[in-house]
Amino acid sequence: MPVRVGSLVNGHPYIEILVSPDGKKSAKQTALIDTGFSGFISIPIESAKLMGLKAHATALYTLANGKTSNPVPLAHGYACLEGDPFVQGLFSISEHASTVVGMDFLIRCGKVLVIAPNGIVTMDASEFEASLKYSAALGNEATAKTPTKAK
Amino acid sequence: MPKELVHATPSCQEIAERGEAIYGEKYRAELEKTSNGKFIAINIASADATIADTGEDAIRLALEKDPSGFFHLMRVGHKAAFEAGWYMSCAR
Repeated sequence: MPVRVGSLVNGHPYIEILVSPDGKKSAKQTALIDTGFSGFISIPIESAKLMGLKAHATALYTLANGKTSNPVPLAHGYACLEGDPFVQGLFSISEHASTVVGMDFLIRCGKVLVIAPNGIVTMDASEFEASLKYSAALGNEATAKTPTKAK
Repeated sequence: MPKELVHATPSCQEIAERGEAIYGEKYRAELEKTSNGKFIAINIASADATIADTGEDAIRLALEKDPSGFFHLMRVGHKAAFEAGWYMSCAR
């Protein structure tokens, strides 16, 4: 199904995702969408342990205040929206309490994020582009049919 | 087992410091002229570098070369590999 509905909690967008260490066994997580995060997924250390994620790299982050973070462990893993195929990405293993998905997740999953006053929607970018073309075509047709005022 | 054969797992801080030092010594001058914006995974044991368009590709390719290696991921021309959003910057 191309369109999924998430929720707004205290003004912040959340979606349900599946995470997996190997693309086979998976666990469902509620994840905050943070479009200011350029990475794939940040997952709490407790969840990473339960999943069996193995960190083999580190990276630094530029924080919102412009400073650089302490090194954060990275692990290879898989994630997707429920019903979609898994995509590979780098999981940041954090000391925070929430799972966070970033721009790399939305891009790798090929998703468009629509934020409305009462909720959020994710949909396939291909479907979104097709609907834009369809709307544009309808708009052109309507313009062509609108009679011009006689002067 | 002799002490010199026991390899302790390095800490995140040690991996990052070693990776940043290797990058500064071996790669920065050249890559910042030619590969700005690319991701580089540095193997802290061999000082080998794997360069790719994405961080995921750089780490995956580096792991193919050395499956038991430890790597520091950097982005050429940037202070850090990734940008953290508000939550990762502020939440406790």
